[in-house]
Amino acid sequence: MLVVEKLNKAFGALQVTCDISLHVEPGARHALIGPNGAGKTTLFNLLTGEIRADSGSITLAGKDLTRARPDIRARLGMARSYQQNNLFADLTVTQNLVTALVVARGYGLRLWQRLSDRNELALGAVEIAELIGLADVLDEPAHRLAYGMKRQLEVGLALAVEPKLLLLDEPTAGMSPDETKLMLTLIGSLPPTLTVLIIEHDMDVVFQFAERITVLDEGAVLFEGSPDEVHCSDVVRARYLKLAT
Amino acid sequence: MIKKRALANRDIAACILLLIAIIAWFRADIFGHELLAQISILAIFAMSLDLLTGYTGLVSLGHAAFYGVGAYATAGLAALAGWPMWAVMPTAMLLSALLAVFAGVFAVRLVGVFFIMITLAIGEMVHAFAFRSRVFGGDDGLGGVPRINFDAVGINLLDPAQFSLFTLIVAALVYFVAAHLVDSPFGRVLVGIHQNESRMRALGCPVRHYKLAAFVLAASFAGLAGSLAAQHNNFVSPELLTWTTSGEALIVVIIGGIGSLVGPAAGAAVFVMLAHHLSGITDYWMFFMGLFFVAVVLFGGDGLYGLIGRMRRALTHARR
Repeated sequence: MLVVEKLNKAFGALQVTCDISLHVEPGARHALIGPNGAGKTTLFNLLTGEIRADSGSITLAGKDLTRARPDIRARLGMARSYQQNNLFADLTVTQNLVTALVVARGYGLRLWQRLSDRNELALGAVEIAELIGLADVLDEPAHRLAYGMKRQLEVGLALAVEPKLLLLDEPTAGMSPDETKLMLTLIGSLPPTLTVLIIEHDMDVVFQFAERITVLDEGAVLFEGSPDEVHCSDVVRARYLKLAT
Repeated sequence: MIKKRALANRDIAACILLLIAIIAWFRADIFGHELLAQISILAIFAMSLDLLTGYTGLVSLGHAAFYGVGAYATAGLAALAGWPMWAVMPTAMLLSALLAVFAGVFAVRLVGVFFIMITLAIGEMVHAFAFRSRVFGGDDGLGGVPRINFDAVGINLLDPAQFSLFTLIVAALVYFVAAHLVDSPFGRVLVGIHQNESRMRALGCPVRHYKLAAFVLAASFAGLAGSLAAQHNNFVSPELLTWTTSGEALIVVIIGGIGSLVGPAAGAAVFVMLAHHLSGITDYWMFFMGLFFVAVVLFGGDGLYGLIGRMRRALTHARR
């Protein structure tokens, strides 16, 4: 599904992404772990095109996206959630999701229809809200939601575009244990055909969810393997798991 | 289930405002009709800016460029080239839109204060051109602009009452069209861009294309306002194009309530009436206008429309 070859990015003298290659199979549950500053979110930003790589290539479902604009990558099936909540703060939950659906379904150029007449959008929004557990707060403005709910809506916006590849950037960051459990159920219930690449610090979440794990350190791939292999790897233990546990 | 379409508060407010305008039209003397036409034209101009600033979140200090192009195109095509007015008005709007396409391609690449500065620069460029242009009379301006001719159906727009009614109808139509636009999926995309541009892009929205579309739409309505202004005054001058004209429109939008359409229309009425009455009382009327503006902004920044909304909510709370 996603093929990344020898990706490089430097901010000035600081090499934040160093020859990263990554293969994510269709339908995979793939996790990216690594200490703070390892370049995980930078890699996401390179994948979605929010920053441009210095060299290397990115291919999604056989299409070369290395030079594509972020909105084109999104339309070709790449969606992400953000580490920091990045919502339409003044809009309600429904309006947030409807906005995403308008973009995803290409309704944006309909200048002379009433948005409120598009029942399928409202229904679609409710459907997603149920999936992400926000069906009870449909009319609440996003900025008034509890933190955990904002994280859920964050994932909901990414799901609304019906991506092929879903990039989740620390979906459980800052969540209470209960909220984490809810989020785990949510990402556990994602359709198996959807390819998911997830950045996560919570090792319980990673080992429960991921089938394959890539460990990043100082902008480079340190190790890649199954959860068991990562767990038993000396080099990963030395560099990272020790710190985390 | 029967689908009921609730009339939005905004549309109710617009109906009330229109009703007030119609009552004012019946009671107005000749000078009152001049004011009413002035208000209607400023309302169109302010609503066009609201599409751009209030909904799309693009603050422009060069909106007068498109207003001015509409006015100068009307003067040039009608007074100089002798075109019939029914062809002049759409052409004036089209020329404003065309300038917006060229200027917008560059402008929408910039955000925040840089967008404001490039719109200011575009406005000043157009102003400088009009100021120097011999054909358009330079800083003296150009007179002899006729009004659109409806003699065939027995309407004489040289009569101030009939002309003010005409501008009022056009303003109502512009409100209707603009309200339809902001209520459409397209309008929601603009609001989404205003709220969170990077998220819209990450969702797959070609943000710059939509910004350009908003820029061009806003410019064509501004061009319509400019065309009416040229017909109202029978005269155009570079003053129409100065950046203070853009600033004034921005003030009207903020006084009325940014991002509400009807607010800026009401703001136009307040602005013109206040300027008219204050300038009759004191030479320092601009100073008091400034005080009024500061007071409105301090009162929450959502203008008269927001203030009325909050008062209504407070009243319903008190009744409970």
